[in-house]
Amino acid sequence: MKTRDNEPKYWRSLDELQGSAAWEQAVTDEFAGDLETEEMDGTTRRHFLGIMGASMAMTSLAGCIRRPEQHIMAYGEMPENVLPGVPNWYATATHVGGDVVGLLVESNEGRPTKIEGNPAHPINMGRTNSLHQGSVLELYDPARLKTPRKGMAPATWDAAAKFLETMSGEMRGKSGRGLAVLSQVNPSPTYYHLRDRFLTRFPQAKWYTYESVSYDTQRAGLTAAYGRAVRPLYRLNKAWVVVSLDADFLCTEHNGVSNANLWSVLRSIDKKDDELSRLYAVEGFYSVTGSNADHRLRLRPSQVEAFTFALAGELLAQKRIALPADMRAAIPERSKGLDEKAMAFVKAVAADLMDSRTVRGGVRTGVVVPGRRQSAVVHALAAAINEGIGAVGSTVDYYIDYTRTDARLPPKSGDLSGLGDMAGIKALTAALNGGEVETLLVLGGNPVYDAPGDLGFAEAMAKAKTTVHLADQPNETAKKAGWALPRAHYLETWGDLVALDGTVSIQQPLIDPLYGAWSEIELLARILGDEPTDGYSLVRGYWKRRVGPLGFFKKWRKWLHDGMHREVQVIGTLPPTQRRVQGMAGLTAADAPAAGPRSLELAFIEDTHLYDGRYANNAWLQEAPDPMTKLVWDNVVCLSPATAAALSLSNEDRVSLEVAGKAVDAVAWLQPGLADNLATVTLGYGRRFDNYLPYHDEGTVGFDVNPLRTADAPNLAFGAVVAKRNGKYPLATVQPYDRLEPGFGYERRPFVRELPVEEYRKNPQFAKPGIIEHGKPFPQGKLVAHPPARALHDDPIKYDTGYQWGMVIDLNTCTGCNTCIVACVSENNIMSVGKDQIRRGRDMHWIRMDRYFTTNEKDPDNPHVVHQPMVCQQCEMAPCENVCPVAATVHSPEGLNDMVYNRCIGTRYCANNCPFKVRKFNFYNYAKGQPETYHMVRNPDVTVRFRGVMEKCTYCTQRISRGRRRANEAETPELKKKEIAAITPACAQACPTGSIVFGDINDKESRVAKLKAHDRDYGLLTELNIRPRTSYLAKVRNPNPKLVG
Amino acid sequence: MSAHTKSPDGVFPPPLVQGGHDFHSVTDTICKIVEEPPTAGWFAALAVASSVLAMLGGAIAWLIWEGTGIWGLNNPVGWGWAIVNFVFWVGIGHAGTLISAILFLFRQRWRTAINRFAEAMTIFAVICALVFPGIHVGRIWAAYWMGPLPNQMAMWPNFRSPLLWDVFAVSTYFTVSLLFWYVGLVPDLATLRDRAKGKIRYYAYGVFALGWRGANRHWQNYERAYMLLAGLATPLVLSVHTIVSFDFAVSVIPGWHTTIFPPYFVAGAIFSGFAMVQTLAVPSRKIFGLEDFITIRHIENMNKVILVTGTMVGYAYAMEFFIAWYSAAPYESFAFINRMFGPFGWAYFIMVSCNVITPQLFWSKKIRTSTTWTFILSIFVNIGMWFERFVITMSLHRDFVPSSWDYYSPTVFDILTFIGSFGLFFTLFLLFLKFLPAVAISEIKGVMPEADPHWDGYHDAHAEEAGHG
Repeated sequence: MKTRDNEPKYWRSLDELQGSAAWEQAVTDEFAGDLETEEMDGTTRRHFLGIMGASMAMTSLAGCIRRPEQHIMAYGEMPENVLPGVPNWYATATHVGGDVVGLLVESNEGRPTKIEGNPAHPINMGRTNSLHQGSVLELYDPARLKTPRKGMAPATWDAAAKFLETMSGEMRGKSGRGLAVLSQVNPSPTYYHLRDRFLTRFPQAKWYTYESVSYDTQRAGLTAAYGRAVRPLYRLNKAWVVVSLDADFLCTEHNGVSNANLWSVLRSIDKKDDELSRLYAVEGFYSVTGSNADHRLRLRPSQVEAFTFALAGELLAQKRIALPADMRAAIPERSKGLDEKAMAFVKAVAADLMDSRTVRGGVRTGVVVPGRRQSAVVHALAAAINEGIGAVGSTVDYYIDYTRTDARLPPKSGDLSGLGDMAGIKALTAALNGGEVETLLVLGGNPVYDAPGDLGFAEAMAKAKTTVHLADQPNETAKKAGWALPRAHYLETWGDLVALDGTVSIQQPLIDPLYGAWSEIELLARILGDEPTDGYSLVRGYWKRRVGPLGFFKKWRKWLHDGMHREVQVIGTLPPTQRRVQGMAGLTAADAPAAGPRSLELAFIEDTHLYDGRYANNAWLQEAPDPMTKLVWDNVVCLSPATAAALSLSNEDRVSLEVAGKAVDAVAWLQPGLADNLATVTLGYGRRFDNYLPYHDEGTVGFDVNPLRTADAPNLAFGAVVAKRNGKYPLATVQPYDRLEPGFGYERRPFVRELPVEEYRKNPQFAKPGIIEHGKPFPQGKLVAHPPARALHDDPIKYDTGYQWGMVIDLNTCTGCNTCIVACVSENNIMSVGKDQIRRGRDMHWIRMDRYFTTNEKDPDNPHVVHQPMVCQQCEMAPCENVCPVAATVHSPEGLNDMVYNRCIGTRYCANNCPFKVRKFNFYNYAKGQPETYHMVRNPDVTVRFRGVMEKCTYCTQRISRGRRRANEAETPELKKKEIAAITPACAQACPTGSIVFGDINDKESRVAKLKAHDRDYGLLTELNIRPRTSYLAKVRNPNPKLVG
Repeated sequence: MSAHTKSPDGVFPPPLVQGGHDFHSVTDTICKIVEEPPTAGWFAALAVASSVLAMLGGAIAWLIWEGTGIWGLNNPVGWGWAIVNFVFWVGIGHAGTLISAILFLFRQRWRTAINRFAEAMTIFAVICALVFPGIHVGRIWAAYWMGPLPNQMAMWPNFRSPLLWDVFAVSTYFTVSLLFWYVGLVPDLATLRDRAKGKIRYYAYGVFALGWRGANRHWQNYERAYMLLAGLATPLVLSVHTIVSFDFAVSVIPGWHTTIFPPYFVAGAIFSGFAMVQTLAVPSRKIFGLEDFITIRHIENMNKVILVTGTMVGYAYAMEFFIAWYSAAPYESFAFINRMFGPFGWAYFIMVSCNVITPQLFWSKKIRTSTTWTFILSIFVNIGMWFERFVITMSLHRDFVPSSWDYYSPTVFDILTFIGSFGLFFTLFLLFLKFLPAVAISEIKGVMPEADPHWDGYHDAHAEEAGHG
C-alpha cells in the first residue's frame, strides 16, 4: 500500500493499515480462498453462471417465447401490450372436414390456451362446438409426430427435404406418371392454387380427396338437382317448420354451430304469445337433433327415403309443389313400406309445411334438412321440396361447393377430387392394386385406419414403391408409410379457409410448430421447389397476387385483425336462374331391405366428439360424454330395448358384430328411442397409438368399425348380425340414471319443468311453484308453491349492493351438445381422469349435462329427452358452506359461493350436503399422470388443484375478476356497464345457442336480470331456502296438435 | 339398596361375588392375571392382533401416499366406510362410560365387576374411532386446521360446522373417559405396586399409582374425584353421540335431515356398546377365570339393557318411516323406501334383522342367562349396528337429482382399514388385560359382604348368605 504521507489515510482494517502480507495476498489473489474447496462444493462461479445461462436459454426455449418469425399484428402494433399474465387474442380459423369456422384464440405468453368463436364471423358468430373447444389440446398431444421418420426410424429434416427434392426431380422427369396424392378436404384458395400448379408441373399425376365422414351423397344429390355441386346453408332463424330427415344438423353434421345458433332464435320465448318454430325429426339413431324435436318418428335410415318420397307425394297431391318428372314418377313406387304411424306423420308434416300464414310479419316458411348419411336421392328430393315450399332463398340458400375445387381454376385432368370421397379412394385403391402408383403422397388424414374395410387400402398402399405421409401422429397410416412427415397443427400454420358462405378467413398461427412441422401448402411448395416455402409467404403472396398490391399491406393487417374478409367473392349462392331442380337423373334410389333382429340394419355415425377418429387421442373429447348414451372412453353398438330383448342382450354384453362375413368384437348398449331392428355404431374408435394417453391400460379405446364399412355404402349396411359373446365389457357412463321419476311409484321430480306451448300460454307462471305433492303427477300445472323453509336467523348480508352475479339457462334452446363441458374443461384446467375413475363415479367436470328420458304412454318406445346443464347453483344460503369445518367454502359479497382451494382439507362434507351434487373431489392427484405437454395448455389464471381438495363451478371467477378490473378502469358509467356486460363465462361464450346467460342481477337492465324476471324462470329446490343464483327457463315444446290428437 | 341383615332365600338378590371369595382371594385372582408370565395363548393372540394392526398401518400409509381415491368413494357418496367405522367405534365407546358413570350415579353396584373392562373398551374404541376422521380427509397434513389455532390471518375454523362440533365432542369425551378410567385405576395400581416383585414393575406401577397409600384422606379425595368425574361424564355419554348424529341431522340430505337422530343415535350407541362388552366379557371371564366376579347376573343385566335399547332402536326405525310418510315430503319418503327396497336394501334388512329381531330373543330368561347365546347374539348386534351406520351413510347415494345417483362399493383398502381397526382395538385390549387389572379390585371389594360394616361375618366367619343389592 502506497500513500502519500501528507494525506489522511483511509483504511479498512488493521491489516491493511499495517500492510501485512496476508492482506496483500488477499487483495491481489484473483481467486480468493482455496480453489479446491470451491471445486469440491460442487458449484463454482463459472459453473453457476453456466447453469444459469443454460437454464435461462432453456426457459425461453421451452417456456413460451415460440413466436413465429412473421408479423402477427397484435404484437407488431402494440408490443407494449404483451404483458405476462395478460392474455392476447388472435383471430384465426379452422375447419373439420371442410366445415369452416372463425376463431379467436387466447394466447398466454405465447401459448394458445383457449379457443373461442370469432363473433365477427358470419357463419359461427362467435360460437363453437366441442371439437373446436377440444382442438387446442391436439396441439399439445403427446402422441404427435415430432421428427420426420423414414420407415418409422427418426430422420433429420435435412434428410426429409433432400428426399423430397430427389423425389420431385424424378417425378418431373416422368411428368408425374405414377404419382398419386391423397388429400383431405381443405377449402383453401392457396392450397387449390398450389394443387393447380402441382398438377401442371406433374401433368400425369392423380389427385384424390378423401374424408371418412363423407358428404358424397349430398354433393351427388344436389349436383343431380342443380347441375353443379352446391352446399345448403340453412337459415333456421327464419324457418318455422324444420324437418330433419335423419340429419343431426344441430350437432354433429357440418355447419352444426350455425344451425344450432340460428335454430335457437325461433325457439326462445320472450313473451308468452311469441310463436315457436317446430322441429320434426325422422331418424333411426337418437341424435341430439332428435332429442330436441317436438315430434320424432323412429324409422330405420333406409326407410327415410320412402318417407321423403311420401312427403313429396303428399305435398304434390296438395298441389303445393311441382316436381321434375322423374321424381314424380318414382313416388308411387318409392314411397311404399311406411306404416300407418309414419303416414300420419307424413300428412301432419306436409300440412305444417303448407301452413303459410303470416307470422311475425313474414310468410311462415319451413325447410327440410336431409342428413349426410341419407342417399343422394333424398338430397335431390329434399331440394325439390324446399324449392316447392318456397324455402330456397328464404330458409335455405345453396352455395357453390368450395370443398373440392376452386371454380376459378380450370380443372386439370389429373384432379380426381370431384369423384367424391368413396369413389375417389376406391379408384386410388384400384390404381395401387393395378401397379399404376409408384409414389403415393398422403396429405394428412389416416386412410389406413378409416378407409372402408372392403377396399383393403392398407395392403394396396404397400404396393406403392414410395409412400409419404404428412401425419399428425405416428398413426396407422404413418406406420405403413415409407416416410412420415410431421404435419403442423392449425394453430401453428398460416393458411386461408373459405367458409360455406364464401367468407374468407386468414388462418394465422399462434405459435411456431412445437416440434417442427410442415403444413400441406408448405409441403406442396417444397415439392414444387418454390422459394420461399414458408406458409406466411405462400398465403400472403397468394392474396397479394389475387387482390393486387395496391393498399395490400393495410388490407392484410385488417384481415388478420378481423379474422375474415369479403374482399373478393370466392363463391356465392346458386344464381337465381339455376335455382330449379332438374331432376334426379343418374341417381339410383337405394334399397331398403326388410330388417329383423337377426338381420339388422347397421348405421355408421360420426362420433360427436371423436368425429372420424382424428380426435381419438384427445382426453378432453374422449371424456366428454356422448350426448345421448352418456358414455365416455368407448363406443358401443346401440340397439333399441325391443331389439335387444329379442336378441336377449343387455347393457355391456360383449357381442360380435358381423356384416357380410366380417366381424368385429363390440359391446351392446340399449338406447331408448332407437328404431327397432337397427344397430348403430360410431366411427373413430379402436385406434392404436404408441404414445397413448395414460388413462387407458389397453392402448386402445373402443372398437374400430371401419372394417365393416364398404366404399359403396359407407354409412349403412344390411344383414348385420349381433351375436352375444361370453361376458361383460365394463363401460363408463357419467349418468347411470336416465329418468326423473325416481322409482317406487314416486312422481317425476320437478328439476326439468316443461309444458306444451298452448298450455304454457294458459298458465305462463306454471314453472314458478316448486314442489310436488305425493300422489299428484307432475307436470300439467300440478306443482305446488311452497314457501322456503325459514332460516334460524336472517342472513346479515342482503346481497343487494354492488355486483351480484347470476346465471340463467334456457332449457328451451339448450340442445345438450356438450360444448359447454369442453369449454369449461379448457378454461378451468379441469383434469381428465380416465375411464377407470369415471366408472368409479369420479368425473371432474364442473358441468354435468343431465339427460333424462321421458316416456309418453301412447308411444312408450319413443321417449322424449330433456337436457339440463347442471352447474354449481351458487346458492345464497349454500348448504355446503355451513358444514365445512375449516371455512374453505365461503360466500363472497357478490353472491358467489367461493371455493378456497388452499384452505380445503378435503372432508367432502360440502359435497355430501350439496343437493345438486355438483362439487367434484380430487380423489387422486390427477394432474400427476398427465402428459407434460398438457401443462402448456393450462389457463394461468386458474389454479391446478391438488389431490384432496374439492372443486366446482366458479362462474369463471377469473373472468369476472378481469371484467371487474376493466370496469374499475372504465372512465364513464356507460363504459363500466359495458365492461360488466361483457363478462362471459366459458360455457356461455361457447354455447352454440346462447342458452347460458350470465351477468349482474343487481342491474335490472342487464339481460340476466330481465330473464330472471321472466315467466318461465324457476330455481331448483327453492323450498330448501338455498336461494340458488342459477335459474332455469322452463322448457316449452311446440307439438303439432294434429299429431298429439 | 343393601341389606344389613340375614334374609330368607330369594328376597334379596344373590351376592355380586360368588365362589366364596374373601378380600385376599379377590386380589389374588385378579392380580394373578397381570403377575403371572404371559401364556402362549396370549402371545398368539397378540401376534395376530398386532399383525392386523400392522396391516392398518400399511393401509393408512398407502392412503396418505396415494390419496382417498384408494377407497370406494365417489361423487354422490363422499363418505364411505371410514365414516361408518368412525360412528361404529364411537358407538361402542358408549357402554364404558355409561356403565362407569351413569350406573355409578344410580348406585347400580353390579357394575363394579365390568366397569374397568368396559371403560378400557371405551377408551380403545374411541381411539379406533378417532383414527378415521383423521385419515379420511383429503389432505391429512392439514387436518389440524380443524383446531382453533390462533394465527396471523385471524382464520378460525367454522364453528357452524357439525364436523367441528364433532371434533370437540369426541375429544372431550375421550379426555374425560381416560381420566375417569385412570382415576379408578389408581388404587389398583397401588395394589399391583405393593405386590410387585421386580424393580421395573415396582417403579412402573409406582409412578402411575401416584403415591397411593390407601390413607383415609386418599380415599376421601378419590371418592370425591370419582363422583365429580362421573357427574361430568354422564352428560357426555348423551352428548357425544348426539353430536355425532348432528353430522347427519344438520345436513339437508333426505335420510339424514331428521330430528329423531340424537336420541336414536344415543340408544343405538348404548346398544352396540353393551353388545361389545358382552362380546369381550363372555370369553374373557372364561379364559381368565373371572366367572366369580362377572357372573351370570351381570351378563343377564347387560342383556336386559341390550333388550331395552334394541327395542328403542327398533322404535326409531319405525318412527323414521312413519315420519317420512307423515311429512308428505316426497324426497324424504322416497329416501326411506329406497333405503328398504333400493340398491342397498340388503344392508337395510341385515340391519333390521340384527338390531330389532335379535335382541327380542332376550325376552327369554333361558337365552339371556346363557353365555353361548349371549355371545352369538352380541356378535349379531355388532354386525347390525355397523350396518345401521352404513345404511344411514348410504343415504347419499340417491338424494335429490336423479342424474347424480350412483352406487357405492368398497375397495380392498376400505376392508383392510376396517379389519385393521380391530387389530388396533385388540392389541390395546390384550395389552390392557396383561398389564392392568381387568376388574376393579378395590371397587369389587366394596360390594362384597365383608365391606359391610354390619356384616355378620365379623361375628360369624361361616355366614352362609349376606344379601346385597
